[in-house]
Amino acid sequence: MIDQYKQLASNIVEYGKKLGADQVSTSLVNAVSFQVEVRDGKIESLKESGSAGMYVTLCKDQQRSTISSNDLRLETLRPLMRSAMQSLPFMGKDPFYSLPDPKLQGRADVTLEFSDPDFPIHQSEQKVEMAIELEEKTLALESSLRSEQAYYSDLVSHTVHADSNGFLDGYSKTLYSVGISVVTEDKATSGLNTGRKQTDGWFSSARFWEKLESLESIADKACQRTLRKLGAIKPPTCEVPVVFSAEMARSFLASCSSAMMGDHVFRKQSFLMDKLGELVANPQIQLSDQPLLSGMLGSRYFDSEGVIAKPLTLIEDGKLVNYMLSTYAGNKLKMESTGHAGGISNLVLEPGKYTEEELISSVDNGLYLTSMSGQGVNVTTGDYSRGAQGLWIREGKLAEPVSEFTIASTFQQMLHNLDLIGCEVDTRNPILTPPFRINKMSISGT
Amino acid sequence: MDQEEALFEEQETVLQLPTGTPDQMAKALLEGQMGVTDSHMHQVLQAALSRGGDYADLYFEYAYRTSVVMEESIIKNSSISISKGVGVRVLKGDQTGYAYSEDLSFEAMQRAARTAASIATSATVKEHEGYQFNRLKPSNHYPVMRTVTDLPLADKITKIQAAERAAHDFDPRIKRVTVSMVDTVDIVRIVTSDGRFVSDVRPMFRMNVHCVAQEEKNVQTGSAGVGGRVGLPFLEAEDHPNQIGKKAAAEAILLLGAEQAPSGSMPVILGPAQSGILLHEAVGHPLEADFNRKGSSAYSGRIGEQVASPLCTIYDTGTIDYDRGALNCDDEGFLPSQNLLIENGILRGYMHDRISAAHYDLEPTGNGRRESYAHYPMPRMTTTYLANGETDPEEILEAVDQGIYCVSFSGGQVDISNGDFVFVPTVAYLVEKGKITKPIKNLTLIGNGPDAMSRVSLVGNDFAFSEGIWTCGKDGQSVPVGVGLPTVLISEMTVGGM
Repeated sequence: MIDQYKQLASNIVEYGKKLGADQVSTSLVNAVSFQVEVRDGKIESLKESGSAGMYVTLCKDQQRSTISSNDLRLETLRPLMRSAMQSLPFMGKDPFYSLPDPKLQGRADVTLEFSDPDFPIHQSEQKVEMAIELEEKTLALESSLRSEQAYYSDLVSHTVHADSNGFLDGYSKTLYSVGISVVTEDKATSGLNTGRKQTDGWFSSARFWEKLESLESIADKACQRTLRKLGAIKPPTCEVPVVFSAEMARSFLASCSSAMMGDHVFRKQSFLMDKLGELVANPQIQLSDQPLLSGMLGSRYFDSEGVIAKPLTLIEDGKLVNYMLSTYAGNKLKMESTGHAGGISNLVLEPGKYTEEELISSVDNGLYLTSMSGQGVNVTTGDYSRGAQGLWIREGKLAEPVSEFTIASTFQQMLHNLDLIGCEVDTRNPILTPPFRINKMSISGT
Repeated sequence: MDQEEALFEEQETVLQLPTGTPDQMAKALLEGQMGVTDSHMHQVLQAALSRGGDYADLYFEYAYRTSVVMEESIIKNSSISISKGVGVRVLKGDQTGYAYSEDLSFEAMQRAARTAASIATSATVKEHEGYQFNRLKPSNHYPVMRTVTDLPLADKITKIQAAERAAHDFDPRIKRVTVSMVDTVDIVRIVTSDGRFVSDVRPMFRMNVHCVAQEEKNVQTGSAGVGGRVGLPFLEAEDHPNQIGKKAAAEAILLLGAEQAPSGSMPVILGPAQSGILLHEAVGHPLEADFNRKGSSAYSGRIGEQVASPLCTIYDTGTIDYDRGALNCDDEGFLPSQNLLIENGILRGYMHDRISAAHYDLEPTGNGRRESYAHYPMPRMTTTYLANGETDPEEILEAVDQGIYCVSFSGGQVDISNGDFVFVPTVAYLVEKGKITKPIKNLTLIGNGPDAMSRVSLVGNDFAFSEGIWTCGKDGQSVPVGVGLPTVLISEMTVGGM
């Protein structure tokens, strides 16, 4: 598959040059996926899909146009490319657009394990059975739980990138996921007219089948997480320390990382612009992007422009030391690409020494945060205001569940107030972070 | 240069969209360009039911999308995108088998059909005698003869430049302006084993301006957009570029002078149009029937009960002409209806797709939607709105001693099971002694759906639909939607500021 796509990609680059483009780049992605959802021991839906996509950027005299198509036949792609060429004279000249410096391009000289050779041996029946078994195991734990759905999904993808610098390379990846969400009846302790229920769940995802969490463990977490939400009340309006579960830590760091992206910085849409070399966070914080971790979800050999991937320190002892740059953002900021076209690889917050339990016991009166919602994240100004759910912490112990309130602060204050870092890292996504404590946030409730 | 000219001379039809009625356009594309005949469709449906499925449908789609982006006063990029495919769905009871193919050759469609068929495993399969297709011709809620796609690139650029200029001219503190124009023509054909056969051509236009304003260290952003299932006459009728350029700039400048929002419980006034997002989150999602079929919504099993203030009558409909949420037929081929959800506070109905309608033994409501051929349909909103009330908006303002007034929003989200929802205002003001006073920023509103709807204490007589800018996400599928609402007072809601 990869070889066939490489051939097509280089054909496309050659055709672009023939049309008169002075810079051509193209990416091809093909993905085959399988997904089954079960409910009450029965298949609810079964879906299989194979999709392809091709993206071509053509540039001449600093004028640029792009096309994309899921029809990869040359008889479709060629007229599309011609039509893109015809639109070029209408484009403005953008002196900052260029392909990467060829010296920065290539494949990192390591072996990354992200394609499971055993992918084809798992049969559909086995996958369906796995979801059914997960559901059975979860519902057996607690009779008041009903299943919303249990699912299994997998994906194998092939990516090829080529450009007129002569870059041509590709890779394949596999991904497995299995999970469940359950629902149970609840009663609102305050408020009017509710038919309140609570739902939650858990999932595991990994690039290798054998790295998936055991079904027993997923079932257990799904059950605990749902039951602990029952009887939630609205907390008082106050200012307290907040312990972020690893999932919420991930959400916070995902927003933070976008403020470190070059395109936000040169657009003046980052609270971290003009802050290189400054103390922007608690001096304990070490944050980096690590593309070469074997088996992790964000690992890669090169970025989406073919720039070789390498580790990059972002925050060192609380000081901002680097932004993450694509070639374009680098040109804008007069710096070199750091290999971050297409975003982060694995964003790593260096773990501290505290278990989650120790983080919780460090709080006398505060919040253990398990869920956030809403778009109240402003990376330009740093304002942060989210809907929240969680458990109240009293005298170092988890107490009653809380919901229907908001938490607020600013990124700037949160980064400085992030004063205790946990040790248990969640590896289910490309942001590798333990839980942590932020010692003061505003809660708005009753 | 000779070779280059020769290359440009070669003309192929793939970039020429056909013209005519929706049915003619779909036929020209599918039959004329891709060779998909009625006989193929019969055979693919047969393959889909070859394992004993009860029902099968095919969803053909060809989407042609162009976009132009201007940033830093430079037309940075233009792009063209083509996406086509067919989704094959097989139902066995309420079980779904789904597969799709981007290759519309007969062999590839047959393969997809056999994959989807495997949801059913009956030993006995009924012999199909062939299908009688009943060609539906729904009324057209967006009869667009000339789409924005037909507008020459140079003319699009003129409009984009006008929007950019309007934003910069508004105030020298506007430092960066980004303008985008995206238009799509989505041609679909739905063919079902029970004989439904319908084609639809769905235009969608969206123009957006985003501004960054800066005053010393204070940086704020503003944005504004327009759009809908509209064509060139929409762009020609009014000076939209100028209006949205000014509006986006005004928002960013206003926020430069905004104060931090207060915290705690207080009365909240929702201004007309955009605040319809309240309905979308608080009522709309929890009334999508799949959640109710599974018993996971806060409104499950509550038809006939009082779930909102008697002032609230709420509809969902795909029949609002040219609206972003309009649909001539849903993605299962059912026609849209005026769907009464809540009448004077009493829950009357849910929004259904084929599966949930069968479960409740009702007619589908025209709410079976999907993002594309790559997805199976589920119950989704189209345009959700709260009917007009009787109170003068001025009186609503006067009724509030201390509270906030919300004008525009960046979005919202809801937890279906417990009913908690948030929505995030971008432009909002403090209300003091019945008057709008200072602009505020950095706030999130949080409430519980049934609880907040029960606290609707006044409904204005100034109903309006929102500009066509909203996209709704559910289970990883995005679809365009519309909302509408008059001014509404919620007597108490939690405002989360700092």
